Amino acid sequence: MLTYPPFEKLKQLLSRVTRDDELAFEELYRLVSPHLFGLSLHMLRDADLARDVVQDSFISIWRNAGEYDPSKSAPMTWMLSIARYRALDLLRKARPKTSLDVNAEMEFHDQPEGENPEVDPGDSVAIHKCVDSLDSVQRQCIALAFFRGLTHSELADHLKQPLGTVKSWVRQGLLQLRDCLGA
Amino acid sequence: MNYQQPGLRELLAAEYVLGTLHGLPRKRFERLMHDNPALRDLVATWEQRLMPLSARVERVTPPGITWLTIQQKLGLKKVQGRRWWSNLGWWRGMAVASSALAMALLVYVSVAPGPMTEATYFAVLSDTQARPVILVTSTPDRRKIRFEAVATGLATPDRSLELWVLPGDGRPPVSLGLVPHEGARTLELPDRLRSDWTAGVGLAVSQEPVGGSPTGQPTGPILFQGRILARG
Repeated sequence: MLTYPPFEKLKQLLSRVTRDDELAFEELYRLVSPHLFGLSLHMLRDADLARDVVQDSFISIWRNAGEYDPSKSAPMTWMLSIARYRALDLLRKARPKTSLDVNAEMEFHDQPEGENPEVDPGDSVAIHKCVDSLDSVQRQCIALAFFRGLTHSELADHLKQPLGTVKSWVRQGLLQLRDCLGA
Repeated sequence: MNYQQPGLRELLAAEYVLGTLHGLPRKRFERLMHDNPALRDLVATWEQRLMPLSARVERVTPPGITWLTIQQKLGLKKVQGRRWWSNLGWWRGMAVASSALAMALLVYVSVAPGPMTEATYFAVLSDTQARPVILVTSTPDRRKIRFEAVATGLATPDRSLELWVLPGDGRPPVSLGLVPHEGARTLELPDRLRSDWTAGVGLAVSQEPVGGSPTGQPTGPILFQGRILARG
């Protein structure tokens, strides 16, 4: 499923959470936790670690809801980032024992066009189109870094390329995405 | 590293979000972000660009223990699914006082001519000082209920008062509508609530924005509460 919960609903729930509204917090958990857990599970490949990420993230959301600024980012962006940074931390501490022979191309799933408008409008479609327009090597680096948390040296090992080459692929890829997104 | 160069800042922010900035450089960058709102904005921009990549990752519902652990760690009241409405404790001491008062009020109401003189179920909702504020009555067949404010000074232009029935066994409150500023309001009790309308069931009035709760659940503080009593 591609959909995020509606923007306005999440904003309202977050602002109630700022006022210590436990009912709102529970509803937020119900709506959002499957997205955070799904992403964490994908990155960490370990249900216990993914659960830790979700717990830590919601504790952070409860405590820091007052810092969320709707003019700076979408609610899901804010919450997913909290979870993703936590997952990256855990990945650094204990790289999972599963080997890294995942196909980077498979990280970007094919989805039919004309998706649910409840997704932050246009954002998901746009970034996926832009990623498609990258060179294959740049796309692989971005995919492995984003979805599996690989560092530059892990990317170099995985792709059997020099460190400097991989670094410039990542940077070029990011700048191209920025230009493609036009913002 | 010259962090003042815009090009470099952009790349650092992007790689911070992506995660390829790690270890000591990542910690250094985090410290910089602390005092630099422009840098934080740049990071937020990159988050907004990249995070939608996760939209196509499959959603997975986490195990139930996750939510319980969160509640426990934050010290939230609702461990094991109990809700605030099962914690009407601080009003319990008033129960005896208010039911005597309720009886007196009911006698008054039944003597006065009016449509609800065969009321069997009734409730008096009182404030924290056990002062009766809202009177609720219903017909014996529980088809209709009537409620009104019996205290003055409740109406203020910046809020509405919404009446809720608390059906019990963990189910959330159900709205019965707004308490009128003047006079009484009569309404048909929906079928699904009729069986819930029995002695001992809790009622509460919450403070809501004008027009009532925007969410279908109480969003403001509980001002008055009481329990349904049966006469006869």
